[in-house]
Amino acid sequence: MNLKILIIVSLCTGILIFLYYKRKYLTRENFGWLIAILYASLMLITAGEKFRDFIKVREQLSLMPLIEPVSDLLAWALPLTEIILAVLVFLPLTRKIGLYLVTALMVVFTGYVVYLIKYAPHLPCTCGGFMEQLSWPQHLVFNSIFILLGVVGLFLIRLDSRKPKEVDYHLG
Amino acid sequence: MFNLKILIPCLLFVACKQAPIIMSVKTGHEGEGMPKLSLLLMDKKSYYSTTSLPKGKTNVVFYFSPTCPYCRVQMRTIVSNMSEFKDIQFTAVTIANYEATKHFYERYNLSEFSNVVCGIDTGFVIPTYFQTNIVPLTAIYDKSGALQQVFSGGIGIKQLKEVLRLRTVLARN
Repeated sequence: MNLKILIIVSLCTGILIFLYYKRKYLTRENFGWLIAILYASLMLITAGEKFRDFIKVREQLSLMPLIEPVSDLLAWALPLTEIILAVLVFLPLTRKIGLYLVTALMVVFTGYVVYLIKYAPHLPCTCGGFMEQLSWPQHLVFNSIFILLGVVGLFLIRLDSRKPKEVDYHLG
Repeated sequence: MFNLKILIPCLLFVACKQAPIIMSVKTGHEGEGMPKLSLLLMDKKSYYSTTSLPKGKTNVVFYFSPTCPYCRVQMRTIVSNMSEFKDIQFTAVTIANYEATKHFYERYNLSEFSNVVCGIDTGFVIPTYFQTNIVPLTAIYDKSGALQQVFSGGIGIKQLKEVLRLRTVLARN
């Protein structure tokens, strides 16, 4: 546990030092890209892992409360949706709608995690990749950070789209 | 293009994964015949005795829990590869309650396969005999009815095929 904290702290320090020396890259656009890449990677990694271990995911989903009746459909639909969302978020043209959808999906996931913590805390998760190592409360923190990133990304897009009003002086 | 350069390393995090090869465990019963089992069948009335299992067939005793994901994975892989296991007798045994077992039985359509017997070990014979609580447990009996190998934990389809193929070849010789 201590090693984990040490690694996280040193990584954060490294990133902060890097950002301090590369201040000129700290633009709104680059931050938007960062959020898009983080979300797209998260979605692609989890979708890839779900497809790779498809049988396991399918059987695990069939044991989860609430989603049991539709688990077979979800085993396909979930990774496919994640891949589509990854593409939507990554392309600048569709980023806004992508971010809306992906943040909504994250909110749904988080709601489900809260439900699981309350009613079935003994169940393992089916996220895929390193996310499987997280405990349920850690999952909650992880998801919340991503929801926050999504909201920040949407806020930045909104700022960008708010262009100064053009005044037609000829009419005056 | 620049952004693709960032995305590709991110994708590389998706590491390769394969079902791990697990070693067989020593139970001290190798070479012995199958213990006598009375399995409560899914009609909730009749019992199936393992003495009436077909002779001269490789027999796989699969001890499972219907709510264990790894058992479900193994059952799914066996069922979806059943065309290759036609000559093998499967005896799926559990100590779980009737409702959960029935659900499991219906989920994998076990009634469709003539070479699969699924039932509840009401006398807890298998866990007592192998002295284990670990599921899934896969015990492989050769054609002469002697116990060859026992695997504790989920066993991948590749390994299962390999083990069964090897048993068949050994039995022929």
